[in-house]
Amino acid sequence: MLTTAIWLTIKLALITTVLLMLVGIPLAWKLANMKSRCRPLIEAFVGLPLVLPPTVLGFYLLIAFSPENTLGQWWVDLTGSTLAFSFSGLVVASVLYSLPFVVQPLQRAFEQLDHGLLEAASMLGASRLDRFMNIVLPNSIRALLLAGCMGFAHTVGEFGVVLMIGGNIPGETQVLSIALYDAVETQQFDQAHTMAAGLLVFALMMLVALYSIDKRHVSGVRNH
Amino acid sequence: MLKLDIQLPRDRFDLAVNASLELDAVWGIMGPSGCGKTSLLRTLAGLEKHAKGRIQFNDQVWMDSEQGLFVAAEQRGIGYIFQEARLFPHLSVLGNLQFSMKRARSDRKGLAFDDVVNQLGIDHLLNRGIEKLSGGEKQRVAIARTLLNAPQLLLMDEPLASLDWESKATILPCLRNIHRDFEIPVIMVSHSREEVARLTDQVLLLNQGVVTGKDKSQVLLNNALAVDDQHEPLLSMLDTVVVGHDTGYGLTLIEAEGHQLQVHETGLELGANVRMIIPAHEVSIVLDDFCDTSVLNRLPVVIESIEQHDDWHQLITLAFGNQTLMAMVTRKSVDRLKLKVGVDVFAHFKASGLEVV
Repeated sequence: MLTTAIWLTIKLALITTVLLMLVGIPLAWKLANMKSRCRPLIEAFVGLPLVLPPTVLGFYLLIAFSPENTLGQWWVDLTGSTLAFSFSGLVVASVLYSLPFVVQPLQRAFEQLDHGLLEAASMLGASRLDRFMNIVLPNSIRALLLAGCMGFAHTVGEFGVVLMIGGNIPGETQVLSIALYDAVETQQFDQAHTMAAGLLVFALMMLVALYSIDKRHVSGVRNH
Repeated sequence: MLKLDIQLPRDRFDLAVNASLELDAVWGIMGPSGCGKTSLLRTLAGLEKHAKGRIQFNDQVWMDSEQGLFVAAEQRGIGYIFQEARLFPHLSVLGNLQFSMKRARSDRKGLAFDDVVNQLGIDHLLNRGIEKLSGGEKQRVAIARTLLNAPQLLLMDEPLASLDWESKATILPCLRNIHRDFEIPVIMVSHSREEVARLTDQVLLLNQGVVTGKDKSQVLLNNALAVDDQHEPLLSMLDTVVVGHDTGYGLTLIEAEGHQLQVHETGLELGANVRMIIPAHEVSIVLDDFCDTSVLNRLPVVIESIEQHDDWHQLITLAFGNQTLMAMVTRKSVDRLKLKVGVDVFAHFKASGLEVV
């Protein structure tokens, strides 16, 4: 049970992080360069999971995932199975839930990027995509690393949303945080101790890594 | 030929420039700060998306807002040297140069890497990181990066403004050579008379967003009122030809309007066309040329105009053949010598007081 849960958690966090980067990088770039009045609105939607109880998000996702609704029906037509209480449903929920942790550091980095460099690149014949791939991304490498770690760690740490939409199916939706809850409920304290301590150590290590990326960034700025 | 008819709304006044520039000369755009010089250059480059009007470079139309045409900056084939070097910090010096070479337009004959790197003296910097370079080194790398992109037109926005005089001294000759050696038309923005005198042939004067003058650099620079900037020393420029060397005395002989002048020895070849820059405060006026003096350069001139410069000084414009020379003298001297327009006098200046470009 323990190894299944660990493996499932890592798999979920990895897939979610990859998707988060694919969605988050363009979204953060768009937001960083947006001048329209819609910007605060989009930023608010992205940032909602920061303040909303995870159960609220989970509740609405559960409704959206139901085959009676468009999204749920579309998924059933596409794959033959429902989103709710499935691993795929967990991935969708995790991406939404961890989005602000990826988008915000990226957006900040993109906003601070020297746009003079982009002008210089276009005067050398670099197209928009070329400038983004070869100037913007390489100069935001710390922020990218930071965003990836945040997305991964936050996905490992989620509980409420998973419980709402995934339930507690071993090997399908029972991630570590849920398995821990289950172990306590069934009074398997030895297992609970192992998982709790494991998650604690993981979180601690991740944060130390994150803060050292951040520190290096700060001292790098000071040196300039 | 570059034809522009552009409008760009700005905070304090709108830029509205209508001009055509013959591109066989190096053009300078001059004017007080905030007059729209940089905006004009950025509009040419395609960096101002709100600009309206029409820009045509030879047979290429870069912008025609009536037709809804706007060629993106990266497709105009323009090289732009910014005030700051704007090197890419994640790449080494060589990486910056390669970034440019990879994106050079294939229809243009590229400049040889070794030529550019040697000309700008950056061969020893190639493997360095950007943050370890001095300001002058950064700007030289930026110029090399632009040249290696094989631009069909080069725009420079006060490329020397942020540099100390030592870096200026190394970069100035490089800039002067770009037009000659690489055959690229050049337009540069500057507020410094010295830069314009040294580098440009033709000048476009800009004030409050509109063109107020367009002429040869000599003519505009010699017209003190055209460019009013109290902080810059007034300069005259004379077109001269090298006619000999007097190695025994360390002098080079040059000739202008049939008269010989002597300057500190330079390695210039006989027959080379050179531009002499003479600050107005270095020129003194002598009524007759009988007395002997240690001053080597004495030119017969005619007083063309006398203008009040400040409370104590007057600026005298002197006709020398077809060229013009300016002398800054005290009001007291003007009164004592009874200087008047139309009087024949002699202009004296020391060999050390001038520069040959």
